[in-house]
Amino acid sequence: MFRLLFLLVTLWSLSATSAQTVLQWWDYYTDGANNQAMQDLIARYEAAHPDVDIERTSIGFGDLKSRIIQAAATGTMPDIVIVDNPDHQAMAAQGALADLTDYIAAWEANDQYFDGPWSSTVYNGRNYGIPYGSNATALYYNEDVLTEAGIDVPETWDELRAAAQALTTDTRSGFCLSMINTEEGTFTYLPFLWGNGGDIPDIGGEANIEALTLLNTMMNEDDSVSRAALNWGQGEVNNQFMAGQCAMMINGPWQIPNLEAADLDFTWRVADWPNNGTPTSILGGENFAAGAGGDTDAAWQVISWVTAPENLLPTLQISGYIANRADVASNDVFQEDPVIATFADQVAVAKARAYGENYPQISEEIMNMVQSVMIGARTPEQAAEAAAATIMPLLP
Amino acid sequence: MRFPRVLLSVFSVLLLMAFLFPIYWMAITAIKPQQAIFAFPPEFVPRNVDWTVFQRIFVSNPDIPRYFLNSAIVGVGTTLLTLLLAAPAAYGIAHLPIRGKGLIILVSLSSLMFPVVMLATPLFVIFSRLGLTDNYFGLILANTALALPFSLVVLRPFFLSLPIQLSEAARIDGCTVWGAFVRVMLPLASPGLVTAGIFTFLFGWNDLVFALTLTNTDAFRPVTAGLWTFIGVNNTDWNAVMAFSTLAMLPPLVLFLTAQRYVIAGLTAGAVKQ
Amino acid sequence: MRETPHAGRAEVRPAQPSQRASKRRVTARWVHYSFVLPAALFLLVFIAYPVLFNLRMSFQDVRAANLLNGGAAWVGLDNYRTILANPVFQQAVRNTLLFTGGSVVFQLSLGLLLALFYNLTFPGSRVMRGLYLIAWTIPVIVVAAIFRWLFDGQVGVINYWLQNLSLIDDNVFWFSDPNVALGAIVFINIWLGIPFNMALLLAGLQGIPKEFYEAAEIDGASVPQRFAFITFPLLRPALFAVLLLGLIYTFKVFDVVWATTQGGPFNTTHLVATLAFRTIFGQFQFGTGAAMLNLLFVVLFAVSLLYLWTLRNEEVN
Repeated sequence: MFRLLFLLVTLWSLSATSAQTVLQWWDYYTDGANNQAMQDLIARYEAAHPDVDIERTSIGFGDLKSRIIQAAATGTMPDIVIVDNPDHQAMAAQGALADLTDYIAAWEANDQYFDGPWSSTVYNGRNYGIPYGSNATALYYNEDVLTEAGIDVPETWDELRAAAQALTTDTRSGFCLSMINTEEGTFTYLPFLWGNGGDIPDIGGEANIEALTLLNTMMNEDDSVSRAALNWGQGEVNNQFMAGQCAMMINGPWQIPNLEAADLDFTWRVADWPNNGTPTSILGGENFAAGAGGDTDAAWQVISWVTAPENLLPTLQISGYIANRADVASNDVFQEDPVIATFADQVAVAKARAYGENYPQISEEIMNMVQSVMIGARTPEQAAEAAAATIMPLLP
Repeated sequence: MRFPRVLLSVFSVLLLMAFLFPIYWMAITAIKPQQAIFAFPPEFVPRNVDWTVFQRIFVSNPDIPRYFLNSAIVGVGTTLLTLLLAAPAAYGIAHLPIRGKGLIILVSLSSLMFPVVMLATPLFVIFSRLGLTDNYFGLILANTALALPFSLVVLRPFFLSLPIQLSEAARIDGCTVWGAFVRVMLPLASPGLVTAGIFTFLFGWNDLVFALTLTNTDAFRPVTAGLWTFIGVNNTDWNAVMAFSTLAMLPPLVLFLTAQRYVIAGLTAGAVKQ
Repeated sequence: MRETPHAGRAEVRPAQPSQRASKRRVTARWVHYSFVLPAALFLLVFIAYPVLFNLRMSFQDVRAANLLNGGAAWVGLDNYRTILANPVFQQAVRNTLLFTGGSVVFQLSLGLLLALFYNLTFPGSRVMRGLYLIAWTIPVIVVAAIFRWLFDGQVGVINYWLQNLSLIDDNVFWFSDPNVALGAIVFINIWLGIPFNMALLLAGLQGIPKEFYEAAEIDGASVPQRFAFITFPLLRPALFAVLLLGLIYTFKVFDVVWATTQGGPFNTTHLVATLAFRTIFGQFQFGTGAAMLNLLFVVLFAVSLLYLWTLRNEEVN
């Protein structure tokens, strides 16, 4: 009798524990479209997999990096974590992420991804994640103001400088962009470097010097870029644009909800980045990764499911992100709306910030370089030379 | 003073208005439409008011009442624990013949010598091993660790200003040392206790670093952590942040206004002792 | 001085038997320590680990890769040598000294003036003086954001007023111009510090009995004399407490600067604390970051020792 009871209890407790796998999921989408997209995605996953329960924690972006350090130090990394693409390699180097190379080698979709986003998930030849969605920056402009001044949308640097000068008045800057000394500033500056055919490994070269010279001239000679830009984040740039203080700005699609909700009295449009020979933009967006020491098998199940085309597309539509795998990016939905289409085109030419595990330091040195020129502490040549000296040793 | 007191009141109002202007700016920014935040000339009185921000806050954070409750619990808990530890210690340092007073003060001040964010990581490591993360007790202990030295240093002068003869007299009357402390000295030091208590409550209420480090779930998140919901990677919903802060400011404000009465009570008690 | 009616009675009582006296004294000693031990033990438990943790890390080459493995090499004073040779750190030290000096001087003087003012009696004084504390109910990131907008070079309220009052010709780019950026941050920090200074000094002032002032007035003392001979000496313990806490808090200030300029433009507003934060959480250089923090700790420790020395004079009570 007792043995039967014991058997029953054991069977019952075994089935009870195997009924639910609980996975921890961390991301930094605390509000807005991305937050909704994640909630929807997780709900769909759980509906399709009743034996899995995903506990999602949404951590403020400013806090995520320190939380990951703490979690890695105490062995409490979540099973699934969504990381910003420029931080991915640094986190892999810290040992915070699980190595997914074997899973990916056996995955049939491992050749679908665009080079740019994919490169941010690779560290030391091993894979540490899969891209989720991408976006890029582009040139926003106040169509009314440009038409009134009879100016065409600039496509080259010369046209940009001329347009900015012509559009600057006492109450308005011709061109606004974020030049604050955080990642937002680097995020805004790099396409200038790339658009001139340059890159970080030759940061001491002419391409970079010319990019610095362009911005320096626009700010300090033409006065078409306000000095206050050295303290603006992308949000402040957008607020200036919406208040009519800027004729043109560099920003990303995350401003679209704000622009649409604001009920502005002018028409705004989006165009490709003005460049000096190389069409370019910069990749924003996040990647899926698995936390080191978590349930990597189960995490991979989740990650491969959420990135499958039929599951990914609805999520991208809610969040407003652009697909970065060929089989999803070809979908018409990314070309229907002219604004989204512009961003999708920009994503296609955008570069990722995949410069190794020291990228955070490199980014800081780049903004030091840019700001030192803007405040007149160094000439573009001096700044480029100093940057090369500090940045070259940091590259992989 | 010869001239009418009311003039002083007027001057005081002007001073207050000047000092609190940034708070006024915060409150009106909350309800301005986004493009008006950077309007030029600056809008001192909002031309268009957008009340939807409050709806946004409550929709994004359905747990807001819970956040306020958590902040209140942490604030009150920190205040009680801190005063419980600091008042006797400050009295001891002020009046009792103890050796090593300097050492005690130094040890307690050490916790203040690091930026809070640096203490957070090691504390997180200990607390997670002790199972103190994601509960009120952990937050209260962490906040007390910072509020305690502050209260110690602040309360000591108050106890010093009370004449030692009073406690001696109570002792002679048959009180124990603790009895003299609780029945005679403590009530007389109440202006100091209220002041230290208010600041300690504010530390607990306002703490952001420990709240973010030591809590994971919404169930224990204080008000300050709710702010982070609106600060994103590329974009910050400033209206919501300002509106949230304006709401978060109200409970402590009520606290100050009511606490004023107890400060007065402390003063009259001081007069009676003469 | 004050009358203590009980003192007279004590002198009349007969002496206690010596046994009971010594027993009382022994118990009393233990009881005395029971006042301070709970606080001291609490702090020792919760603060010792973080302090020692940071201390140890500063002597190792701890980076992102070996924070977990514990395989960090012991490098002795190398981290300290590296940071002391770094010009950005040297500038951060200069900035920290300027920032702390400027902030504390003004916070203390303005706080004292306000405390003296609100010590007067007039209608509404009690309510109004409490309202200054509202500044402390707002998280610092929000305060920083508000002041960033008020100080904005293009559309800020402060430039608007300065222009209207003809005090300046062109807009001042407060946070983009290295010459004024630190000053603007000091202004914000002063604003943040005034409520605390005022409230504590006011509480201290109210502990001074009015009879002293009345007696002095009868004796013909002028207002400055009353301040010098009554207010200042009796306020000294509170004043020094406020000064010490102000110095300690301001020296390690991090969030005000971080939320306004992040140390920019071009590292011109970095303080030691912000530089340490960036080094640890931005660049994952834990060893050098810890070394910076420990230098901060040493300076503040010295300041605390100074404070303890001033306490000696107050022990004569």
